[in-house]
Amino acid sequence: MLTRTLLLTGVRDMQRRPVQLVLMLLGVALGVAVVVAIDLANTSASRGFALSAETIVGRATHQIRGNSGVVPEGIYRQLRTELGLRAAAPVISGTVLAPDLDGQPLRIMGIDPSAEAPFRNFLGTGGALPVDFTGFYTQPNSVVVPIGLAQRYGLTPGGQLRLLANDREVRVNVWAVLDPGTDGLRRALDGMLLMDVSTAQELLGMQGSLSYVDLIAAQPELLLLQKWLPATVRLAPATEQTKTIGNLADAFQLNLSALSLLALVVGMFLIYNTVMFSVVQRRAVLGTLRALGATGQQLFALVMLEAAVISAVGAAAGVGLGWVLGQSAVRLVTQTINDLYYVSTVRDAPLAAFTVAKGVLLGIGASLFAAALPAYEAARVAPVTAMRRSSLEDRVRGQIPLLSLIGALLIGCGAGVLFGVPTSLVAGFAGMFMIVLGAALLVPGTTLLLMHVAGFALGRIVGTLGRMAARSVSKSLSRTAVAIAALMVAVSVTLAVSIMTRSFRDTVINWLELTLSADLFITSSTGWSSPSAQISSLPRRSSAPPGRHPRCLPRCCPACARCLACKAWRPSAPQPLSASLARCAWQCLMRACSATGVCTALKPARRSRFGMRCRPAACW
Amino acid sequence: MPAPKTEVVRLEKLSKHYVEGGQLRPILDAADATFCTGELVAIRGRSGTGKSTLLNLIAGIDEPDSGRIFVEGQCVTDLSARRRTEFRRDHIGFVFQFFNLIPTLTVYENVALPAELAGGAHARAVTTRALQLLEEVGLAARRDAFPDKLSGGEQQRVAIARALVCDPRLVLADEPTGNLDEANSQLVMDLLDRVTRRDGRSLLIVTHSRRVAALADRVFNITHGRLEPDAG
Repeated sequence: MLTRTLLLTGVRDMQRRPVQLVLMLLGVALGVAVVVAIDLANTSASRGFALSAETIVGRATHQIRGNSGVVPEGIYRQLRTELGLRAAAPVISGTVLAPDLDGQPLRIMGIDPSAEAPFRNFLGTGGALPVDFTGFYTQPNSVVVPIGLAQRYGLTPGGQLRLLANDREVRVNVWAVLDPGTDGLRRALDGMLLMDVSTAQELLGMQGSLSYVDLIAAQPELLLLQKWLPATVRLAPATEQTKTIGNLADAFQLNLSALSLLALVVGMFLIYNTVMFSVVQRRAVLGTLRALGATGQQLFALVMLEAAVISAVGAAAGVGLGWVLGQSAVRLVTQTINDLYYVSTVRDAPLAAFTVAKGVLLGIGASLFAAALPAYEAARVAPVTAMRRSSLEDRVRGQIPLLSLIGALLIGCGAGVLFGVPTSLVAGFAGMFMIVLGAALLVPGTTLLLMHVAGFALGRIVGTLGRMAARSVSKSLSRTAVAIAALMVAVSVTLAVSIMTRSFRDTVINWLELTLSADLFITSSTGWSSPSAQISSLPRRSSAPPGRHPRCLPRCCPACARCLACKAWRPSAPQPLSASLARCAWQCLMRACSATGVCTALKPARRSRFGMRCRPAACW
Repeated sequence: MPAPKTEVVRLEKLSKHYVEGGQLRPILDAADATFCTGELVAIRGRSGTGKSTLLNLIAGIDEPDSGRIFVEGQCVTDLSARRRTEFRRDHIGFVFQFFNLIPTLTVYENVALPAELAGGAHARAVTTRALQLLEEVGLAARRDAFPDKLSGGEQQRVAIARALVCDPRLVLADEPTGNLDEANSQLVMDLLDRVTRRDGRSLLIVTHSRRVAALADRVFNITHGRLEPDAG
């Protein structure tokens, strides 16, 4: 169907426009790279979590968890001795920092090796432990390090490791290096330290408590347990905890995926712009080929083949670039997940076949979609129309009313979806896509209007050259409108995401300021026997600053005019105040206002000898 | 005794208009004409009267609003777009005013292109035919050059060779000397006259030039959308 010479026209055209070719490849590659990178990060993080969760839960069917977060260790003793439940294992879990290992967080798992065999594979099956655990019982602060961690940092049995737990530094002894045998288990255990239950209790300050007790229990045993367990603990399915954390992380990853799809939409506009520009540039040549005997089908196939080849190369480059970006993305995503949800030690991002296929299909699909419309148009119109540039511009102008109508309808529908289904992410994304597409369709008409105005203004200021500049934009609407739409989408999406993240950040900051009302928070890493005595021993100010009530803290809640220590103001229940308290609170308010600059519009609703009341509406 | 002339092109009530800025501009208005084999027919008229439009309609690269066009007995207006393209490829050669050579193909590839697109016997003999035509137009030595390296006259000669590669019985030339100087114009016209009449082809040529029109067997003027024989 496609002759050698026809193919040559396409190949040589690309050779003659190397910069344009590179831009097309770059457009496709960038669009694909972003999707692949975020997909890699998401997949690695969730795979790491799933693998880790499965490994830690093991074959446990249920867990005993404390309502306060810990389980008294006496319950485990009673389970084994009184109820005779053999398939029960105590677990201490927590997180420490390892200053010697680049300061990374490590998960602590305190276990009883003798009770572990029925639950978890990495300690061997059939009761055969791959590591000699004798040292656990006899040597204090002994830990078993997984092989991955040991190899990365050169940890060997007999060595020591510094850990930071609850702001306290502890030195532990590397008793053994554990190789669980399979690659999956090695990855799951990476970043975890195994130790005896009592060692973990001392390290994490949980003496007398357990994090939970793993059980393998059938229905009759469960019924017995439910009657026997005290009210301070509860029986839960083994996957409950991991499911909860997983759900939180899923939401985060879903948002990442949505943003990557948004990046793909922007990328599609870029791809569409570059591919369509290439086809429009060659419209006259395509018309000549039609006049010389090339059929519309042949030309359509030629243009689509060119787009497919370019996009395949661009997509392949994008997958490679995406893998490189993904390594950084994995670190960033892992850091965020560590900070917010759970400790994840995913370090690398292997390229899954599904991710590659997704990236390639998206890149090629977007390019073919972009090329299809101009290719169809060039193949369908009469050859003389294709050869005449003015006819293309006439057609584009003729389509402006229809495009504008469709654009307005899409914006309306998109807004309706966004406001009508505010809680659905899929609906939100669909609505946003409709608005973006609708706005893009309004660009040709808007450009004409604006260039008309600009031509008039520039003509008055600059003269003929100014009018030329404006008219050249509107005379080449087939190319300029698409370029303007692509730029508009990219800028608006960038702005929207910046506003969204800034808004989130401001909301969190406001929440923190509301919640963390004190200037100083004091906690103990060792546990105070008598906190009030210790606080009372802190040095006090001997006198208040001039004009300041001695009980008045430096910071008042600026919006509610509430002196927090004094509790002088209660907007819902104002009380008469002494003059000194009133003066103090007013000074606190003014000082806080001048510091934060918040209160320029805040005026007390009433001021009296006895006090002030702020207007709740002015607060926050 | 000269062979009886057979009809090669017949126009029946041919009409065409364009829409410009919302206004309807009629170009051809129920035009009728017949052209015979072996004729050199010149079509003249003022700018904008529809000379090029007429050639485009006959070649099938534009579509009339009404009327019928017969080329070698085939009603081309009744054909589908694809069939019209194939018919044009096999039966009509077109020489454009602005040459319209494909800039990314060499001289040889430009000449060979229609034969390659036609396939079949044309494709099998394309190399021989293309080189022979390049010899004839005096550009065999430039076969590997690209169009941007050729002068206007040379490009038009390549276009003529391209138009003849599939051995069409009808050649349409839209102001072939319009962009050439006098010397090249003479060269091109001599070439066209030679290669068309020698093999009994028909040549319809649109021209402003009286000198070119003087070479024609018949001259038509387009006036008010109709073809009228030139009184001079």
